Amino acid sequence: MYLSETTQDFRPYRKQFSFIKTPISSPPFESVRNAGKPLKIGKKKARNCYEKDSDEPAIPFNGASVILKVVELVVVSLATKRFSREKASDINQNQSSLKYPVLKEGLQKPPLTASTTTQMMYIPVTTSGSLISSSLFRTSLPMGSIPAPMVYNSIPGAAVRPMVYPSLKPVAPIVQDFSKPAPTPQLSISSPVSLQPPRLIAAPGTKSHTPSGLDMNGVKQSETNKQGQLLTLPPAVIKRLNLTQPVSLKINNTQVTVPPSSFLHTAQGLKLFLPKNTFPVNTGETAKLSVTVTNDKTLSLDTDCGSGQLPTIVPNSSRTLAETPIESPKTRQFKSGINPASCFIQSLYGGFDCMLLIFNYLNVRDLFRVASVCRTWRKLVMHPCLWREVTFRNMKIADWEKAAKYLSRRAVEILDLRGVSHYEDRNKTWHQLISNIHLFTCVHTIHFGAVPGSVFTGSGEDHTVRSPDSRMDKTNPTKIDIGKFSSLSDLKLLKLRGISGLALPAFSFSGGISELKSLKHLQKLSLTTLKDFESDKELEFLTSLPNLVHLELGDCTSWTPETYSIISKLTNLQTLRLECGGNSYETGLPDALSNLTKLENLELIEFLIPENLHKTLEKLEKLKSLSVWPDTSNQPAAQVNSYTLSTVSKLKSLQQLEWGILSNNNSSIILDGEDMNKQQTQNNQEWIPFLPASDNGYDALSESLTEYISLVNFKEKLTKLLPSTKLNVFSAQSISRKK
Amino acid sequence: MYKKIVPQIKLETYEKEVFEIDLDIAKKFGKLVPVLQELLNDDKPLTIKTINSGTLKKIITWCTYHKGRSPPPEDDDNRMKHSTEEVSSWDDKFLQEDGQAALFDLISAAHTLDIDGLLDVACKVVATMIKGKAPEEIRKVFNIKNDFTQQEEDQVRKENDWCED
Repeated sequence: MYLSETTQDFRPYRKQFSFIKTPISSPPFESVRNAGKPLKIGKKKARNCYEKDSDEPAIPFNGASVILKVVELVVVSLATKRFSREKASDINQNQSSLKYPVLKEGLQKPPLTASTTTQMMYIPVTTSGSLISSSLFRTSLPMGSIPAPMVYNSIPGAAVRPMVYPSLKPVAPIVQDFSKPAPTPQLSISSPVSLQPPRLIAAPGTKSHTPSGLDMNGVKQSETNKQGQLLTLPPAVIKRLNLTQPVSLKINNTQVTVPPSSFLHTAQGLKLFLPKNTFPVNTGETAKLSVTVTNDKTLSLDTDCGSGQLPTIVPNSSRTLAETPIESPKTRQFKSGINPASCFIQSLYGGFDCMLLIFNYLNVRDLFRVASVCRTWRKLVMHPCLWREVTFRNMKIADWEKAAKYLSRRAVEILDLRGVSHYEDRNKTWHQLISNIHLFTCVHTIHFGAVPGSVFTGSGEDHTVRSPDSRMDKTNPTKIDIGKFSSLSDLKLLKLRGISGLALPAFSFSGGISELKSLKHLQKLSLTTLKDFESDKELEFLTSLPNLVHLELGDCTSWTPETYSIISKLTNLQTLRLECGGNSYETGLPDALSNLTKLENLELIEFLIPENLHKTLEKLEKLKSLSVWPDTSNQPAAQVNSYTLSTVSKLKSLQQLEWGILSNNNSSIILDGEDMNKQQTQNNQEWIPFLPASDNGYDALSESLTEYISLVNFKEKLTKLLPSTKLNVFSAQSISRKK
Repeated sequence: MYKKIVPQIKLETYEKEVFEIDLDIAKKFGKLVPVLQELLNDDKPLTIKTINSGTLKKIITWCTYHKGRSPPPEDDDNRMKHSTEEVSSWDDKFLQEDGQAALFDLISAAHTLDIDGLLDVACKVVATMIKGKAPEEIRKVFNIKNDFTQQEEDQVRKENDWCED
């Protein structure tokens, strides 16, 4: 029956962990995909067309229409036997792919023995100034189609004449010229070839690679060019690649993704257009190159390459790059530059997080034991999130002073004293606590639970909790001097409730309940089981509490119209709960409520609802929820229910309605034999007595006409009457008359 | 008749075993929720290297068992009581049947995938293993070496001696 009002402040523990929780690395998937989006011809995002590990912008834009040299890299052959072994070691690095070591500067004819890895030749080619009509640049290139490469005259100022790419065909013969055998791909090259190293190369699909920002200064787009290199792949490799998808190259430690728009189909095979300086050129020094070509960085190849065969890369044309998650942390590209999948330190903090979650289920006593297990655990136990709230259930505190000092070092904010164990004398424990309570410097909330009344009567001045957010939640003192609380001037919530009722002492030094008027900060007041006090005089203090918005009062049995007129002055009230309204319909309730224009929630527990109450409630514009537990113990239940129903059914604007059906066994309803049988056969069903509607209104005396509605039918009926209201009909235990 | 097609996502474990997981269950993986749609459209499994196959199997079993069961309402009062009582006997048996290593793997995986219900219940089970035990017993249960010096141990005990059973 009793609900703690302070729960709204207690966030579930898990939420407190949020700040140490591992950041969820979900964004990477998206950003990967965005980064890897295929280029659309004509779009202006050309700079992303090559993804490189380095910060170097993809392809520097060259405004001049000059080409000096074309370099071609030719994959000459590949030997497969050793490949599988090498690749197997690569799998660990998630670099499963074909591997083609490339010789620099085209010196080698690759040996085809099984002992060597696959060889790739890299051949500089000098081209005569090949020219292509500028109009070719302007042709819009359909996605996926590979345009003929365009090459410009290398001589500045030379006349431009169109030329098709296949005329650049010196490759094959030159290969044979570099006949120096290469035992291994890790080759040291003593001297560069006499040929000029490549500096410029024509770009295919130039239009698509033109960054808009650079298309300026009057440079015509038709004259734009890219610098870069061409890598020729032999047909054997091409067969294994899906040319509708981007191809990944791993050259030494650099990752390059080549979109389909940069593929050139030529007589020698597929050529890939690469950013300049992809392959080191003109170094003249020892160069070790290994090239890995793969269609898909994440494709798992390990399963079917055990036989020494090259794995077959199955084209998956249905999937576009945009949907392809790039799994390997090493190869993922993120626009932000941070790859959460590469946040390896993250693996370190999951463990402590989980440990704290576990410790969260331990009470203070267990935490202390845990603290003496080992050093790591001790450090963990000190974490503040475990100490925000301390529960003393079933614990004996030997020394409250020491406890208070320790707990304030841990910055405990909430003390839960409910269920605390005691030594031989209960009062002694409480008195020791009360006398040390000022040591809890960080505490703002204390749940007292059941406290002997004598504790408060004896030490009314001491139990001040100096904190602006003080709350006190004291249950079960039977006879207390409520006026003692007047010294807690910062109190915001006061909730007092006795299991068998609260009573004021006949004589008190504190000045009685009316002294509570000094609690100027009080927002919520709940005094629900007050018995036998002169309500009209004692409650006058309520009008001097300016911040009071939430009021719960009971019993109202002995309330006079004057008491209700006090309530009517509390115009700031947003929530009002009144319990046990007595036996008469003729209370001052409607008049009292008519002034409470800010009222949002009204609870009338065990009240008789006058038939005309709706007239008042309809005027309360802010009223959102109404709780009624009609008191059927002293008046004919059928009549009570009928009146209540007729009232609430007129409140169409209610958002929420609770109807508590008090299950009174001593109800005065007389059931005839048939109904009795019904009730017994359907034990689970509540039967609610109502007066049948008649032309003459309700006749309270005609009990013989009482009709019974099952709970289900009653709910349906209410739903029909109040279609826009959230309904909650439940059976409740009488709070005032339970044993 | 047509077989009902259940949307599935694919997860790949540390052992490179690929699991197909029903969408209903995958929705419980808090970490995957933001990318579920993409995973559904995608044929390729998502690799989670920190989770091994046995653990993922257990997670799927747990989620399947609890699919129809609504989680207990998030009750502030329960939190305050540090309650470990509401672990069902099925959960308790299920989580403990494979020993501590599997249980801790499961917790770690539940933390990685952000499966609240499983994480809570598994942590409760571990907390129950700690509850009410003396430090020496706890060390024995988890095979922890006592690395305190005598001096430190005394100090800890002294700090905490105000609280008794």
